[in-house]
This record gives sequence, C-alpha cells and structure tokens, in this order.
Amino acid sequence: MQPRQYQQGNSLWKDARQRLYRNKAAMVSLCFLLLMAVACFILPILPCIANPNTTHLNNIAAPCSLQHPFGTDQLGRDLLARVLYGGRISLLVGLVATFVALIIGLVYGLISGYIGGKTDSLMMRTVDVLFALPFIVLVIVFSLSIEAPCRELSVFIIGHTGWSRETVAPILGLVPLFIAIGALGWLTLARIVRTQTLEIKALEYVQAARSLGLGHLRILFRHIAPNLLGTVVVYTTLAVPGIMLTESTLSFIGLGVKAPNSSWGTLIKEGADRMEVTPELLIFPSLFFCLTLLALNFLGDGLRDAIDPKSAKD
Amino acid sequence: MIKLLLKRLGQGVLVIFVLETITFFLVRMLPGNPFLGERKLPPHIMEQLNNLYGLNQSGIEQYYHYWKNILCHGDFGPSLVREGLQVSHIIAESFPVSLCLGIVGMLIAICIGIPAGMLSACYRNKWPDALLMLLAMLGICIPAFVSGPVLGKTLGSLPGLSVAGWDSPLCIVLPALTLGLINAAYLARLTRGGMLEVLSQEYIRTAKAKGASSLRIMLVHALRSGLLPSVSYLGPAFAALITGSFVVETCFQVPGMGMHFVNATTDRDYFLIQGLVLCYGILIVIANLVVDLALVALNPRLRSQGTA
Amino acid sequence: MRKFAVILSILSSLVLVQCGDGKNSAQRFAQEKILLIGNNAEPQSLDPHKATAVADGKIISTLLEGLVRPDPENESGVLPGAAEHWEHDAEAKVWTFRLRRDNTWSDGTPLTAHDFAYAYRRILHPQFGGRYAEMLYPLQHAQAFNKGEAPWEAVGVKALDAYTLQLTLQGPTPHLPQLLLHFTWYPIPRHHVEAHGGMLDRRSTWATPGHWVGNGAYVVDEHRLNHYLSVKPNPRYHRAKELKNGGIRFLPIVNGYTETRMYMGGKLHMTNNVPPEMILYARNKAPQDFCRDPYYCTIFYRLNTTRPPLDDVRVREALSLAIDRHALVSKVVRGAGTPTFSFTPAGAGYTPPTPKAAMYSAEERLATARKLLAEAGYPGGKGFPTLELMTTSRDVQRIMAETIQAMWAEALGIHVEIRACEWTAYKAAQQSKDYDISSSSWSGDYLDPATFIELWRGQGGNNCTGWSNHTFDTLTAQAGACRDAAQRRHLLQEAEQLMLQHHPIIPLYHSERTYLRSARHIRGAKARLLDNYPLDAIEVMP
Repeated sequence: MQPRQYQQGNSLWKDARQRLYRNKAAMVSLCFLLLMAVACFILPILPCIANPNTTHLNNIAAPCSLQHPFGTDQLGRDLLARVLYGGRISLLVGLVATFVALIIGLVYGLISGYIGGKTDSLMMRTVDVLFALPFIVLVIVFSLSIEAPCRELSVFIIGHTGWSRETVAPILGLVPLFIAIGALGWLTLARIVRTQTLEIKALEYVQAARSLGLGHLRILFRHIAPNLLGTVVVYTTLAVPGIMLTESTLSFIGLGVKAPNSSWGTLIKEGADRMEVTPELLIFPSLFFCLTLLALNFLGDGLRDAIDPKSAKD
Repeated sequence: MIKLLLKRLGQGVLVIFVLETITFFLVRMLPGNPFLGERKLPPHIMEQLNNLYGLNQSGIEQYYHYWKNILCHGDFGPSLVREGLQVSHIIAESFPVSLCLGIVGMLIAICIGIPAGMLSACYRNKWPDALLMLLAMLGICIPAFVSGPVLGKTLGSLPGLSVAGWDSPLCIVLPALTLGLINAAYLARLTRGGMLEVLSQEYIRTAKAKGASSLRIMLVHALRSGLLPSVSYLGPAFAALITGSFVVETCFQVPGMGMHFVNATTDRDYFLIQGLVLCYGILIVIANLVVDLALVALNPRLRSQGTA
Repeated sequence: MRKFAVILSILSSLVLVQCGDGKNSAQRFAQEKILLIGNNAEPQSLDPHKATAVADGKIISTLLEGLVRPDPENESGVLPGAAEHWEHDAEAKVWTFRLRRDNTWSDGTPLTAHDFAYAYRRILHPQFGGRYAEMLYPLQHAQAFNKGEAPWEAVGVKALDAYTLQLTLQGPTPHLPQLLLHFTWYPIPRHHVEAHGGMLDRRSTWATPGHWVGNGAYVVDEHRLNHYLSVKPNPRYHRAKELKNGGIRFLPIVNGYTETRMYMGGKLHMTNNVPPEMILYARNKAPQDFCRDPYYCTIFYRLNTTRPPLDDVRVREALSLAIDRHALVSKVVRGAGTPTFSFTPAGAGYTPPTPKAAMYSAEERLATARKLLAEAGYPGGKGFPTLELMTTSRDVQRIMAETIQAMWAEALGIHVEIRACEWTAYKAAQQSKDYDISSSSWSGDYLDPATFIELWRGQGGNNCTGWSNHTFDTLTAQAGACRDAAQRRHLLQEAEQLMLQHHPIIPLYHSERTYLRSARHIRGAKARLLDNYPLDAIEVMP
C-alpha cells in the first residue's frame, strides 16, 4: 500500500513542479522572496549594516547617501537597517501567525470532514459564526486580553531557563500578536481542508484502509493528511499576505509590534505621517512591503495553478 | 424556498446570539474599565459608578440584564464613556454616514472591478490581462493608511474635492475611492476567475459555434454565471464596508461607525461595543441571506434543487 | 436617457453649489463669522460635573459662565462674570460674591446664587460620583462631604440671598478667582436639572444638545458625533452685544496629521495641535499661521519607587542625569518645549527651584550619573536588572522612549525595555503601580503652582510613584494655610526642591503648544499658558 501511494504522489509533484517552473511570474516571485528572506535574515548580521536601534540625533532625516543608502529616520537611525529588521519581524509575524492558523485550520478541517454528519455540520456552523465576527475588534480584544498572561509566561521562561531577557523579550513580546492573528485567521483554511477531506474520504484507497481495520488516527494522518499537502501549501502562501496586512493595520491603530521593534507596518505608518516632510520614510518601507506581498500573491497563484490546475479561479 | 429562508434566518439569529455572548465576556476580560480617567478617581466614586451601571454584579447577572433590557425594553444600554448618550443614538447617528460611504465605495468597486475582470478574462494571458491583474494585485497589497493619505495629497487639492472632513457632498469622493479601489481589486480577480471558468464550458462553445458575437457571449451568456464568485464576495464585504472602516475614517475625518468600533474597544465602552457588534452581526446575516437569494437567482441549477 | 440627464443635472448643480464660488469651508464660514476650530477629541459630556477632558472644558467654557470670567488681555487677571463684584475677609478665607441682577439662563429663568450652591452640592455629592470633585476641595469640609463623612450643611457654600453667594474655604486662598475659572466651578440650571431626572441622576439628559440650557455666551446649536459640535450666540447672555463672532464649530479631530492636512486644505481657522514631525512642513507652508505658545504642562517620567532598584535614590538620580534633555527637545519634539530639571513650569509669579544638575556641563552630568550608579552597586550598568519603560502607543511618546532608551544604554550601559500600552491599559497599570518607569505628562488645571506641586502629596490620588515624604506634606499644607503670597510661594518652592532631591520623577521638558491659526481669518487670539483664551473674544474676518 505505502510505496505505491508514495510513487503516485511523486509523479504528481513532478508535474506540478514543471508547471510551476513554466510560470514566469511565480518563478520571479519565488526568487524575489528568497532574496528578500536572505536580505532580512542574513544581511543584517553583516557589519556593513548599521544597528537599526542606534540613534544619531545630530543626523536626523538625512537624505540618501553612501553611508545610509536609504537615508536616516526621524531619530537618525539607518533606514535600510530598519527596513531589513522590520522585514524580519513582518515576515516572522506573517509566517508564525500563518503557521498557527495552519495548524488549527488543518486539524479542525480534518476532524470535521472525517467525522462528518452532525459533528461536521455543528463544526462548520461554528466557523460560520466566527466568520461573522468583526475581525478587527476581535483582534484588538484578543491581543489585549492575552497580553498579561504572555507577560507572565515570559517572566516564567526567563526565570526557569536563565536566558537573557534581552534576547527573549522581543520575541515573546510578539506572542500575543502571533496568537491573536493566527487564532482568527484559520477559518478559510478549515473550510477548504474539510471539503478536501470529504472528497478524499470517499476515495477507494481510504475505504480499503478502513476495511483493513486501520485506526482512525492512522487513516487520518497517514492516508488523508498527506494528500491535502498541495491545497494546504497553496492556501498558506495566499494567507501570508493577508496576515501581514492585518498586522500593518494593527500597527496603524497602535496595537501592532511594540517599540523599539518595528515591522514594515509600523515603519509605513510612521512614514505616512511624515510624508510631507520626508517622503523617503514612506516610500522605501512601502516598496519593500508591497513587493513582498505582490510576490507572495503571485507565488500563491502560481502554486495553485501548478498543483490544482482545475481550479484556475480565485 | 421559504423553508430555506427560514432555516437561514434561524441560523442567523443563533449566530448573532453567540456573537454577542462571546463579545460580552471577552470585553470584560480586558484590563482597565470605562471609568479610568486621566486623573485617578477616588475609590468611593469608582464604586458609585460601578453600582450605577450595574458593573459590580457578577458576569452572569450582567449578562441576564443586558438581554432583558434589549428584549423587553429595546434598550441597548447607555454609553459608559459619553454618559447621557444612548448606544442606540450613537449608532443611529453614525450608521447613515457609513452606509452612504459604503454604498458609494461599493459602486466604485463594482464599476471598476467587474469590467476590469471581464476584460482581463477576454484577453486571458495577453498583456491587458497581465497589466490589469498586476494593478489589482497592487490594489490588494497597498494598505489603506498609505493609499488614503496619498490620494488625499494628490487629489485633495482638486476643485471641489477635499483632503478630509465631511462638510460637503463631494467629501465622500476620496474616502469612497480609497475603499472602492481595494475592493475593486478583489472583485477584478474574482470576476476574472469566474468568467474563465464559465468560458471554458460547453454551452459557451455552443453559442460560439452558432455564431454569436463575442461581446454578446460575454454579456448575455457568460456574465450571469461568471459573477457567482463576485456575488458571494460582495455580501460580507458590503456588510463590512457599511459598518465603517477605522483606517479610512481616521485618515479622512469621516464621522462613521468604524471609528466607534475601535474607540469603544480602547475606551472599554462595554455597551457600545456590544451594540456595534450586534449591528454588525445583523448586517452580516442579512447580507449573507441576500447573497444566497442572489445566487439562487443567478444560477438556475440551484433554483431547481432548492438548496444553496 | 432622460433619467440619466436628470441625474446628471442634479449632480452638476450640486457640484456648482458646493464649489461654484470657488471657496473653501474656512472662507465660507468666515463670511458668516463662524469660527472653525479643531478640538482634539469628541467631548465626553457637556455636563460640567461629568466632563474631565480638556476638549470638553473648551466647549463648556463657551456655554456656561462662572462667577468670574477670564480676562482676554491678561492671563493672571479675571473679570466679573456672573458675579458683579466680590470681597473677602482679611485672611482670604471667606469670600462673598454679589451676583448680577440681570442674569438669566438661556430659557429666561433668572440665575441666582442657589444655582451655584446647587451645582457645588451636586458635583460634591457622594452619591453622584463627580469625577472632578477634587477641584472643589478647597471649600471648607468639601472633602468630608464628598466622602460621605459630613452633611452638606457643613460645607462652606451658602446662598445668603438670591444674589449673594458666600464661599468659606479650608484655608486662606488668595488665588481663588483663578480656581473659579475652571469649569467645575460653573453653575448649572437648577430648575432644568430637576426637571430632567433630578440632582443625582447621572443619566440625565439636561446637558444634551436638544435640551441645553446655559448662562454662557453661546448655546448648543447642533451636535454630530465625531463630526462637529456647533454653538450659536445666546441672546440672553448679558454681554451678548460684545461677542466678536457669530458662533463656533468645534471639530473633534484626534489625529494631528489629519488636522494639519485639513487646515492646509482650508477646512479650519485654527487647529489644536501640529505633531512634531509636521512642524517644519507647517512652518514652511504657512509661516504666518504657525504658532508656538508656552503651555502650562510638563512632560516627565514617573519612577515606581516601591520597586528595586528604583527604591534607591542614587539610581533614580543617575537615570535622570543620563538624559540629554536639550537633544530630546530639539530633535524629538522639534523645539516645541523647554528642557527642565524641575517640575513646575514658571508662571503665575512662581519661579521653580533650579537643581544643581541644571548647571552641570554635559560631561559633568554624565560623569555624576555613572558615579551614582556605581555607588548604588551597578558600576558600568553591570548587574542592573532590565526595567520596563511604559508608554502609551502615541507616536511622540514612543519616539521619546526610544530616544531615552538609547541614551540610557549609551551613558549608563543599562538596558530598559519599552512597553507600549494602549491608553486604558496604560492608565490601569499606572494607577495600580504596575510599572517601573512610566512616561507621563501633567497640565495645570488653574494658573497656580499648587496644581503641580500638590500632585506629590503622599495621599494624592495621582501621585502613583509610591513616594511620600512627611516634610513635603507638611510644607504643602503650610503653604495652603499661608496668607502671604510671597511666603506661600517660598514654601511651595521649598517643597518642590525637596521633592526634586528625592527624584520620584524625571522631569524632561515643559511642552509648548504648536498649532495653526489663520492670520487671514482670525484677529485677537492670544497665547495663554492654560490655553483658555476666551473664544468669544476671537474675531473672525471674511
């Protein structure tokens, strides 16, 4: 049973890969994203990039120069460094929150689709309810109400591991954001996973596995889940930009990433406030943000066309 | 048909009830309370205020009274921050503004988005398609708090238009445009997808073979089914639009409901949040109902099945 | 087709009506002599006993008139308002106000001393829960009554007859007229409040736009939430003929960037605030209109003295000394402030003490800071725990915190974390002392140093630092009981000096108001420390 299954998947993936290679927009996007990831996660380690939090009050809002390719911000910090570090946070929020959403959505959709019947319809009605919630209010309420527990958690972790607070705190400070955005972003995924599960469940090989007397968990995770991979990859790619946008909107309200960390969202917000005086502060972060989102969307579209050629719709 | 409607309505009522319950307990979990002023209140006065508005009761009691007041007296409670104002008054005053803005924004979105999507589908994989889809993608990727001020800056000085404010009918143009462009982008993508799906189907090919002009095919035969994805998107999007957008309202100083949504949450104006969420929930349910009906009307197959 | 033509013509006529004369709102309203003014926030309430915000106060002071009214020409002086004249005893403890006989409310009912007594009783009433009742505590036994420990009869408010009001104060208060300018001391229409639910009804609608009755220069005209609140002249006001404009429209614009952009787009005659980053833009674009006025307000950091290591005065002083205030003011707030090492702003005849630190050169300052930190056991910042610097999510505060974080890291080698809270969470944390360092500001309620210095009394509700000092409390109490103005100032100075030596706070700068005021449309507005220039004295030019 197992080997044949694997082989079949392999050829499917090969096909998909070839279709993806032929999609120019998706490939350019992929290269761009890889480049962006390298730039945001590796470049800042190099000594030629300034510390993003070092202020130079006698060099504020400087124009572009060799030393500061993007100029400096309102506190004399190097804008290039800030944009790169901001990208780190934005991408991190985008990826981790999507991951949270993915896990919840996957498990929820799988269970709902697999069990079916009354449970299924109950679980799907719950998703409907959650879909009707005013998203932004809920994110605010949620991120505020888990802020205090998260602070306690961070104190606990620091107390028990002896990690330095300076390294732990900035990342732990993002946890409410991860959870809040992630916990509310899983709905679409759950719906899609459920539909797919229903389809796969009806396939012969699953029924064969069942008649062999395999346990439910084994069937779920060994036979059904792997076949969902394609769909999941596609919708995850498409979910990241939406989640990054949500984070930026929260930054606009003042509830996003907390100072002195800055995400692209906070940088853009600060830039938009100062656009009359120093348009560079708006242009550079917006450019990075929009291009990344654009690339993510194109890649997502390309992946969908490649993996699931039938559904060429949006 | 009627059975379906009733079933959906029943589900809607349940949705609203659950929604209110979740919000009720969530907002009371937030740190702080509505009476925290810039200056500290003496404890006995804080207690007075809590007593007056029944906030010292247990959660369950408050919850019971909240529903009792709504169901028996139609009273949505007072605003806790703007004392003397009723929640219903605040909503009644700001909703028409958001409604107006939402409708104009949606019209802009439909007028731009759907033709763009159709055009794109006509020229599939040629340069107009690529260009339009790039523009649509950009529309999705630029946050409203960037496009708003930039639009205001570039177009605000045109005669008649204004940077921000709400004192003349033309003030609606820029905020509606900001909202409209974002939704136009989504609509264009959805319409394109829907049209492509339809265009590949048998009956279109038959029509083509019979020699119908391509414009006729597009408008008469394909559009009806091609719009299905856009219609299902429009429902919830419309409900979200007419309940206001905090970002656009802040950038353009529009006295709509979106501002209340965020301010009531950060001020802990419990009853106002509840009222707003209720209003939003009702609109979402209605919007979904309308969408269901529209889908049935657009799709003959659904009509004969009687289910949606 | 015809339908289309009709719609088109309606639309175009609308456009023509709106912009046919090519005038913007500022010009259109100026022709009607109506003042358009940015007012920072949507008012919470027009009831002077429920309002607390500055934005509310601005509106209320056009709608109600107290015993005295501000003098447009001289900030430290007052002019007769509802009271014609007044006298006090030798100790300045018992004040008698004679009310004008021709005073009426806007509904025609005569205004009497009983309306004042009724108002004071209401705001102080323990069952009413007036948020700002503290403002009336200078009245004899007012505090006890407010806490439910004394009957109303004991409070020093007496309407001797319909036109004579006698106020008996806790101690000598020569600056009482200044206090009376605050809206908490204004009268309310007794007959009207009684008709709308009575004295203790907090949900009363007497002060809502449809029901408004007042005795001020204006009455409420229209109110649209988050849009505008307009007031029109009150024909029954005793100085109705002296009003310089034909009405005021307050626009609650929270976002300073939007407000500045609206001003530039011709939507306002006067704004509330130009954010620091926009100062340069505003100054270049409208050099005649840009104003920078001193303001009775101090920006400072509260230190939680109950938490180690901030319970050590040396640590607190080191933190204070390590901040370069000049750089902060010139770069972060773009010059809209005066750097300071003391708390109370100069004004009202008071000169704040000058701590030694103000004389230090930059090197001395930093060297002393490092030395103090080393003495406290953290040489070079070694072993210093990570503290949290709490701010609100407001842009200026966040940027300031980032700057100071960098200054501390550089000068002392210590790391503080910034905790940006949303507004209500910030207030909750500060009032329950759940913070290490808190970014704060304080603006005076009335023009007297006591409004600043008394903040630091051990029992003060807004102290929030955990610092209390018996000598300090005694000194401020003595100042409160002091008859001689010079001696009183001296005592207050001594108290402030003492407080500054203990460093429960880090004073940063006295802020200045930056705003735009149309030179073309407005005549007569002047800078005021309290930002309480009477709006009825502003002339609007077409």
